[in-house]
Amino acid sequence: MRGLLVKDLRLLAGQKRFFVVVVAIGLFFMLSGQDPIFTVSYCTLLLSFFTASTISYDEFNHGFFYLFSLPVSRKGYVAEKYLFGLLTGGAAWVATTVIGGLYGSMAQEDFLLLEWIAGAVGILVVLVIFLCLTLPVQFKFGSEKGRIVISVGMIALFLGLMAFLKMDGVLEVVAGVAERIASLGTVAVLGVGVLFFAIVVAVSVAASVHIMEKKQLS
Amino acid sequence: MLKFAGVKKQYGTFVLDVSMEVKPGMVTGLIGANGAGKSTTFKAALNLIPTDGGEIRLFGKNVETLTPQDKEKLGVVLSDSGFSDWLTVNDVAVVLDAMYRDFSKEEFLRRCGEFGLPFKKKIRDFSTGMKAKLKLLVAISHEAKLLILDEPTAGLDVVGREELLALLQDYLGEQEERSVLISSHIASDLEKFCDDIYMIHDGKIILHEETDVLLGSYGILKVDGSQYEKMDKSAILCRKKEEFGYCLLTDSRQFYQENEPGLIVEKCGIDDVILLMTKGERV
Repeated sequence: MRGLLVKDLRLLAGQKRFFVVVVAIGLFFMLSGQDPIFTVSYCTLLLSFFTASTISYDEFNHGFFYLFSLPVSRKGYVAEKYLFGLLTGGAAWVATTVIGGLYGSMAQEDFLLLEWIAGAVGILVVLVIFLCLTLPVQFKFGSEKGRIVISVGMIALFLGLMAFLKMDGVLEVVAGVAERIASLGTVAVLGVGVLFFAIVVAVSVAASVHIMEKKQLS
Repeated sequence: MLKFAGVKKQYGTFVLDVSMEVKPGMVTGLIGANGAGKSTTFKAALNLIPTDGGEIRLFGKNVETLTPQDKEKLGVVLSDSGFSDWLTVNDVAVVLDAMYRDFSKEEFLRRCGEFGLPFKKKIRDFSTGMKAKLKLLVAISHEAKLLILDEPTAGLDVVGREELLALLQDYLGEQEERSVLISSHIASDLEKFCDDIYMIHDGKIILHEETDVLLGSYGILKVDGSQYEKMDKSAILCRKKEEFGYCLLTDSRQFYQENEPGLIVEKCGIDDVILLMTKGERV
């Protein structure tokens, strides 16, 4: 897996101009008065998009055949992509959270550190869920088709959720569940969150491993 | 080292049905026309495609159970794929260093330099010959026990081919137990290099012979109709109709030189054998 990580980091280094532009845009938004949390989410998610691009590089020109003739297992390949997504997105998250926090504390009179950290942790959760939802799709359909499937899936999910919430009595039930969870106390809420998070990650990784092990290489 | 036992793979109407073996310390050639099943055989050997029957054993294990550690003992060249085009030689060296325990980065880069490969240029900007050289240099960079080389000299000129084959000879000479399974369109490459040769046609192995026997004992007879009727055909493998009569392939040239002095008996190369075995009819 170390070799795959090194390969993807080298591919990433080859695209440094793109990342300089991403960071520059993120900083521009922050310096022009946007909430710094936008810069954190923008840079974190855009950098994690690169994981999908590495899958595209890997499969280009029948590259999977060669890749899997190297000391690489399909399970190891899946694990590396999750790790790479977390490392790249996580690195962007750490850097922008620190820079945004420093900038916020200097530029905003009402800056609250705890609130800032809570917001940044929220972005980290979004990053992991984003990777968990998109990676199995990328493994299944490949990078190009995967993007279309993810876009259509997101729209379908949004419309489905809207329709569901508009159904009679659903909002009340959701509010009731939320109230009941909130009444359990901070530790319990965190516990439920971590459990939910762990289930999402486990299901996503298991699905990705299954997809890659059954995948007909091309 | 590598053994195919009744391995089957079907693509539409094409059926691969292969039994063959690469023994320790041997260089085995697989030769056949385009679409004969060479690349499919190589991909099956590496467990890159699922098979429909039979068993492939590599290093004594079913190929489906190979671990990444086992695969470190393999050096591979595939005709239609390689490292990502967006990497450079420097990148490849760092990746291999992280991937193989027995990789020598200095030696790899020294060889790349010797073969004129630029270190900082992306592989996508390499010529076909440069890509072929890089693939082979990667395959022999980490003390592999078995090299699986599908068309390693494709796209190279005569000088480039000679250079790479000499490099391979040196590599094999370093340790006696190293083995190679190699395919090539260029029969002369295999004639010089292989200990034994399998010939594949329409997915089936139609001939297996030691190279020395193939070149030393096989021959072509050119006979007219009446000579064909009268002659002893016990050592004739196949015949091909020609304007003058028949072109015949024998695995015992000497037998006909001694017993049929009136016949034209010629030495043959692997190309002649392929042509007669695939275009001719069995006798």
